[in-house]
Amino acid sequence: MPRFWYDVSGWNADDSCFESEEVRELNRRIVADKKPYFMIYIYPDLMKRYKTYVKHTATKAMCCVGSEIDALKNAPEELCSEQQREFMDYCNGRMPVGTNVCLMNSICDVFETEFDGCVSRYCVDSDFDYSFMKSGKPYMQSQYTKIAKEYKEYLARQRDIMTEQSVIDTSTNTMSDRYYTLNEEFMRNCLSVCTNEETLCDILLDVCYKTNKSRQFVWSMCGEQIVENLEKSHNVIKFPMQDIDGSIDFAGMTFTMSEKETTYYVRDYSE
Amino acid sequence: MSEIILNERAAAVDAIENKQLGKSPARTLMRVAKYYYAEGYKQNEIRPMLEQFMLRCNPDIRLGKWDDVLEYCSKNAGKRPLIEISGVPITYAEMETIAAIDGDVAQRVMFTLLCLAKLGNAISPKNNNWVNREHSEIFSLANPSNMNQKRRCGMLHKMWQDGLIDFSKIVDNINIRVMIVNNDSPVLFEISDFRNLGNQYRMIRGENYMQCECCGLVIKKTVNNQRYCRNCCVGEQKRQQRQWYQDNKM
Repeated sequence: MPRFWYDVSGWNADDSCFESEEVRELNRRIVADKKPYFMIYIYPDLMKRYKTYVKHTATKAMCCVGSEIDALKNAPEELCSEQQREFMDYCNGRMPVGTNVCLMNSICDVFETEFDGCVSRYCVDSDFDYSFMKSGKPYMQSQYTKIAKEYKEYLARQRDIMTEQSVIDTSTNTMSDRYYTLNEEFMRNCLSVCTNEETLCDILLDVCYKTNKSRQFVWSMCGEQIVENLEKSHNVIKFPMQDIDGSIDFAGMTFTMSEKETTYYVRDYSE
Repeated sequence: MSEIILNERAAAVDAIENKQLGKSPARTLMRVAKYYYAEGYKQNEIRPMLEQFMLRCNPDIRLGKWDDVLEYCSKNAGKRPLIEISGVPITYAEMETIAAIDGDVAQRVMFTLLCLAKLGNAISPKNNNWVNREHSEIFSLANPSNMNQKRRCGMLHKMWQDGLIDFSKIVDNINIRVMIVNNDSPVLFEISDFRNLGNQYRMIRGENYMQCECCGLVIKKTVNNQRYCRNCCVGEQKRQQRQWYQDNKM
């Protein structure tokens, strides 16, 4: 491929392959020095460059020009100052991808608009009411604060283990032992803050379910207590059963919701 | 955010003797590679020495995962010399300029930028007062209260309008150039520790801040007779308990 097809500086003023100045000028105007925008979904490196560029230009716009880049893009040209117009010109010129309105870019735009924020929307369980898992015991704010600290420490330790796992040659058994030791340590710490398991369960549910972070902590610490609470308050369990005539479709199979009444057995700790 | 080290030779020797890769193994490896190069080893000798160092630090480490890093470190060991700086001098005129800035947080941020710019100048004479670090790192060193991106950029915009800093002409380059460097004025003090620069500025201004007797970190004094930071006081308490037990056991 001739260099002047993809490199702006690839053409040489003395290059005799150009018939005339007009042809040289035409080639310079149509040079394909950037990949089109939709290719950020094909090349991860290009996606990274594009996102870094967008982030840095947004910061630079606020620092230098004093306004947000979205406001600059949407503002009419006659209302923008000389500095703002110059900034936007450079911003569009140095973009690492071509944002021209071509067919593929338009299709890409439609998909992005449709799926914008859909993952974060489904991940946020804002409608999920976790109160049915609670024991209903009151607790003190000081206990909540201490357990919240333990949760933060647990997440940090878990991250360290996962980072180490990618670097050090460890077997599955070693990792499961490490997680077991970690859970035991934090269980002791949590019980030292609150000795009553039912109250501890309520505090842990409030700490973990109010954020979007990992909820593994609450299930590792008091999973059994949660199951006990569920059995106590709900003696009817609903679950999907595979059924050819079912109304629920999932993974190519059909299901119907079934119910079963359970009996709650009170544990006898005196023995 | 990476730790800023003024004496890379001492840090490399410390890492080799204590067999510690530290929080950032790649940076430690680069430092150790530069140290070996400074000691006279050739580039083809440095790679196996780095591998030996890694295995001494952690026998279970997967060297294959670090192949790119080891290759880069051994190839570029001689590209730049070891950084061996005792401290960064701050002059009287610079402190006066900073003290004249409106706002306590802005003063701390400007002080941090000045220290980082002078550090860059000490490392490379061609630096010309530029600070080539992420804004999050700069603001973290300045110890401000929680500042969102908009507030940070607003502060930098105000500093730029006042002529205290300048930005690069390139539209996606967020490096900052400090315009208040004045080396002609007499030196007031030297900064040798690049942790908590904002707290250090407050301590210099006479606010209620102190230096930990163990690690040297500058922190806010919460009790009158405080001597250690939160991390060091736990270790010191255990040491004192052990000492008391040994003394009373005897």
